[in-house]
Amino acid sequence: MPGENLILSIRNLNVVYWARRGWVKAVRNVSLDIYRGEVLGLVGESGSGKTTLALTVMKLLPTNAKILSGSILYYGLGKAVDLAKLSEKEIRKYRWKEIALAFQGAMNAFNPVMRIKDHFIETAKAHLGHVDEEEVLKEARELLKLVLLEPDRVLRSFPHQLSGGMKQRTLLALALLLRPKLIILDEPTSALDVVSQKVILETLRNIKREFSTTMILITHDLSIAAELTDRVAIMYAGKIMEVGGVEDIFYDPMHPYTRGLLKAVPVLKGTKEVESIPGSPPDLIDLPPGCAFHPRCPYAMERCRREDPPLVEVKPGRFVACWLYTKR
Amino acid sequence: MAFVRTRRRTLRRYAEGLKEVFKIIVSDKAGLVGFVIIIIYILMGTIGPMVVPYPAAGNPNEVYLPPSWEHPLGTDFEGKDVFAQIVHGTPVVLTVAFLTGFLTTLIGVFLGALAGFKGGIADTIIMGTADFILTIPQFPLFAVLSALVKFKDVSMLSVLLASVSWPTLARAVRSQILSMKEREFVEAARLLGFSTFDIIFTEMIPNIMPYIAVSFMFNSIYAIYAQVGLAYLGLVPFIGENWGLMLNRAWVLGAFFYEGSIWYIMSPIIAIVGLQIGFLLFARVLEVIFNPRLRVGG
Amino acid sequence: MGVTSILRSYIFLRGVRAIVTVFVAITFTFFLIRLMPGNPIDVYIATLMGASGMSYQDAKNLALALFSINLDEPLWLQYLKYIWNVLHGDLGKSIVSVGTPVIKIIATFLPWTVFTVSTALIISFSLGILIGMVMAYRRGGKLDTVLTLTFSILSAIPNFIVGLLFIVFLGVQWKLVPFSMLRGAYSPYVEPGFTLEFIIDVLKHAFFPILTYVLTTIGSWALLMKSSTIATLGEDFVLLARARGLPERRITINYVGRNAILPLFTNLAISIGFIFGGSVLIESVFVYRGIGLRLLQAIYQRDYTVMQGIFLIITIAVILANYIADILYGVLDPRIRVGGR
Repeated sequence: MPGENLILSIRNLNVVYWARRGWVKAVRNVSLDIYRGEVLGLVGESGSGKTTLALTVMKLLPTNAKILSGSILYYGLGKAVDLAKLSEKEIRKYRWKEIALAFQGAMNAFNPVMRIKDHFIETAKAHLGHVDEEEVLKEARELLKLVLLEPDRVLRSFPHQLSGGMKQRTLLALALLLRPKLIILDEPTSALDVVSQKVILETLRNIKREFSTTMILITHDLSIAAELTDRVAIMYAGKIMEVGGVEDIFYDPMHPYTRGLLKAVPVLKGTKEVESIPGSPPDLIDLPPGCAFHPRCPYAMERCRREDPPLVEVKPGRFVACWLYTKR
Repeated sequence: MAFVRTRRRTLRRYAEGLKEVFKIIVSDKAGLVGFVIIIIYILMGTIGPMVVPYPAAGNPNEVYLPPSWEHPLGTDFEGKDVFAQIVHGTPVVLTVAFLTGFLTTLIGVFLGALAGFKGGIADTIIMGTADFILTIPQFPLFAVLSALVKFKDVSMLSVLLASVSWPTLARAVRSQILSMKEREFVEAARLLGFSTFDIIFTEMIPNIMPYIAVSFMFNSIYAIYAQVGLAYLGLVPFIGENWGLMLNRAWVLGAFFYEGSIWYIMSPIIAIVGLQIGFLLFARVLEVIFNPRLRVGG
Repeated sequence: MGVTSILRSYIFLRGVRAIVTVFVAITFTFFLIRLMPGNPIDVYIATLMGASGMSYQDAKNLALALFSINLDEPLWLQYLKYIWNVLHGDLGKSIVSVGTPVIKIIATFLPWTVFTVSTALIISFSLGILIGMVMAYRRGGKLDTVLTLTFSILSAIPNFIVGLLFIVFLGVQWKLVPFSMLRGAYSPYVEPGFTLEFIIDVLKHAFFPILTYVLTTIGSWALLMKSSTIATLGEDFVLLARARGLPERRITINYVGRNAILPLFTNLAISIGFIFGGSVLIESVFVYRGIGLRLLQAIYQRDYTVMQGIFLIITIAVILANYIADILYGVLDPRIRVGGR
């Protein structure tokens, strides 16, 4: 039974936030399991709710957002804890110590008026109480070496003295400081040049090998997911469309949206032409009835326009939300 | 593209820009209040002096009277009608306020655009001067100048106020122009062979109209402060009827320390503060719209 | 720190800038008096001749002695001599109280203004920042709405009118404060010295000028800080600080507060000049014996040398205050202090 290996289990999660025009349905009825030691890719276009999902897990949603329903069960401490129900004070113990988050804003993730080393020290102090600063810095040096940086120079620096790629890697080192059981990486390579992207991927591979930390890798770039992940979940308009092993997803995509995404990936040495999916993502305030993807779907049937298909396990470990595969 | 047509289109763009700014202000409650206040003052300054007779020499038996039908704001130390003095003081205050705002805008936009577009030595000189002017304490400078220069009229005071008020606007215009210089529409205009002047005034300035409008109002606010302050100190005697001068007379004659003079003293104070609040409400609304960071919430 | 790095350091560069600005200010005041239409030196000579029947030569000699200037020399030499004299603390002698060195007059009056103005600035800045942060954290709430309105209206009232209102209401109408007893910088019957009595007396006299400065400037600090704080709260590093599980207190002070203050320093320069310049009006309202009141007196008496000297000193004081603000800014923001990579 996979239950023992579960680290995070999201069930029927619905998150909305308030905008001038109305309620934005950012996360719709998401259920997703993450297993110990795996790297799960969460893939979708921008605005598909990936980041909202990550922020919800850490309870970092902005004040105009709200969890409508659902649970986020965390198994890292031996028993199931519903993170969605924790108070602001209680969740603080889980942040970074249990679950760390490195997001796309790494350019601006560090306090501009503090040296990098103080970021490490204060993070340790916030969770471990009184700590020996030298101990923390020793640990930090090890981690910075792991992410291929010069530890002493980086620790001494202010954030503005580091490049974007260096900041991103420093953030990875900081994420590992307290040995969290789960790390969420939100677009770790976007906004970086190609060389820095390569280094980051290299670093992530090192981390995966060295620590076997569980990771959720959020990206809009399927090729990055292909390089690093074990399983992939495809998200569209706030909903999970398909989940499966990375090979299955790439060699045998089931959901029409996944197929569309794969066609849209530029292949360097291929003869295939890149086709982008026709149409544009739906308005999350005013969603189309039925399946949110049907206006763009080449296989759309009458039923797709009326009913939203549930996410169903069609093969062991393979989930799809599409009427093509769900007979019922 | 025909040259003449561009010019006409530019005028239309300016008109549309102003209309847009106006719509925004009036759609806001505070902005509307500010607008109404300013209109009242403008009426008081234009039609007022024609309707209300000039304050004639008063009756010495009627000094410091409280408000009545005959004297809506009471009388002063000579028995002159206070309301008439307020009304007849309005044109000068408004003229200095608007003229200074206008001149400052003119100088600020011109120098800022020049510095931003030309760069090089022009930029260094203009911005260096701007920095220096910003460090000079302005009010003492006006005070000293009032002893050195014989002010002949209101416009001279406005020129003086404008000549030290332009740096903030010039800086803002310059940085806007620098950031816009690289953008496509400017490149395109240049490739089409438009002159620098046309690029600046047809493509760039309309984009920063809201900022210029805000700056106009803040400069007017400062002009009211400075002229009333100088008049209160008795340093610009030429101004004639002026609210600041009323305060000066009250101060010099010791009316401030006489309990019964409250109506005489409070009238110019309320006139000044009311006008300032009108301008400020007007300006704040624009500022909030122009700078979305000030907006509450997301 | 090597010599080159000192030369390139922010504090040094700002210092050079301040010194250059002081030189420009000296030049400006020289030409202000010397080249104005109706040059005050000529005016003064004419007045002397008319009033006391002096010969032109005698009047001229007296005028030149007071102005510490020799009109027969070429302009550039006069200018150099003026700079030389200023650097040696010689700002000429008063025309009205004949013979009193201007620098001595300044030494008597300046400290009181520096005291009131800087106290007011510090109180207003720090209090405004605190209030602005509270407003930002409770934005949209009742407190925020009330304070925003109050501060907007307060900043619409010219500072000297706030002072006049104190006198009219607290002094004359309600008779709560004996303002005529509070004229001057301290009471004539109190012996100046480091005694409790003197200090209390000084604070009593300075209270209303300071209160007036604070009331008329605190609003703009609070409103600026509010908008800056709201902007900072949306920064990624604040979100990440929360993700790292840092205590809320630490985030508020070290992350939000420290970063939100930085943009306010740009306004500090303008505010210092405004508040210092406003002393001419405020000190006149309360008859507080500071440099502003003395400048006004010199203007009324057409005491040109004193005018020139005081104007120069006020300008230099503002430049110095700006330099201090610059240094403080550098200390708070490493991006300014420590260059790129």
